Amino acid sequence: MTTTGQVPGAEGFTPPGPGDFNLPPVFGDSVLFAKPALLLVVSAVAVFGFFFVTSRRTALVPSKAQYVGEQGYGFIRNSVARDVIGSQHFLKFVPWLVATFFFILLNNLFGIIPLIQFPTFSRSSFAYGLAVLVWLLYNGIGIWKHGLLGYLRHVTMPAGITGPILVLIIPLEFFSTVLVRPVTLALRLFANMFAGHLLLILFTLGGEYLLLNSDKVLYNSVGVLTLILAVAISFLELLVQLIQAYVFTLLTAIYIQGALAEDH
Amino acid sequence: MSEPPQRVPAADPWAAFGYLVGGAGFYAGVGWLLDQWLETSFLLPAGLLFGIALAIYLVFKLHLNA
Repeated sequence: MTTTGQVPGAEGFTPPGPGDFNLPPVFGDSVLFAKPALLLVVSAVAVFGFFFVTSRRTALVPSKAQYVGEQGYGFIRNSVARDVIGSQHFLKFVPWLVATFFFILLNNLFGIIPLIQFPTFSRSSFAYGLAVLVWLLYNGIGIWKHGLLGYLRHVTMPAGITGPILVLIIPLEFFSTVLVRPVTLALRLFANMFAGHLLLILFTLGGEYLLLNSDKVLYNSVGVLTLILAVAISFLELLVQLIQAYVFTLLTAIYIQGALAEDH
Repeated sequence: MSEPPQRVPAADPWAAFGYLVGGAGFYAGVGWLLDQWLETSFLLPAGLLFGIALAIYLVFKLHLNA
């Protein structure tokens, strides 16, 4: 099915699709050297380097970079880790949460940084990989805290529900906590990045096509409008990228808190 | 617990979604297995609806009362 023929003057336009996310290797022929994988490595090095440098050379009058680093660290430490996990246990999870937040944030920001312009987590496998790490973390904490059977009990038997209905609830709770949770965690990040990037390439390629490949002035001017809208959508994407990095980190903290919580 | 009042939600607000997907998925699966066994065809949709109803009950019970 083709939709391009229905719009007059757009016969030669190939709309972008999921195939545009399968980028060829930058060099060699291994998928390990494709753009998304390389970006992931670059982001890991960059985030580590940023915090290493800004925390190493701490000055009494902080530099701009040190100030930004400290603000970001303080935000995740206080507003996410401490407020959600509670003052007793939160400190040992701060490094994980700070690393998660800035790693995801930078990878998302790659989507609108000129010349890079690819959000790494629009490839779902990376998002699933990250969710597997979180899954191992919160289940591991739960088993460490309650023991295997105690944790299974903790996960499958919600407080405040007693009686025979518990028999029906237990598999449902197990499903939603152990199986559905990591999938939705990854899916939310992946789908937001995928949809945002698709929207951006659609507006950019469509605008470019209308502007350059049409001989009607009306279409040309609509093309200019489309390109302006692409810039506006980039700012919308900036918001989405921040929110998704924050939501992923916040949910990680909530899952840790849930695994640590005493039986009610 | 004696924590200061929290600005962020204490429970996962997406738990409702997990319950719905988990409930529908699990009880539809049970219904499908029973369908295979008893050679009927109505137990899959019945299990699906039952799972959704149970999930909605859980959401009300656990999250809206708290």
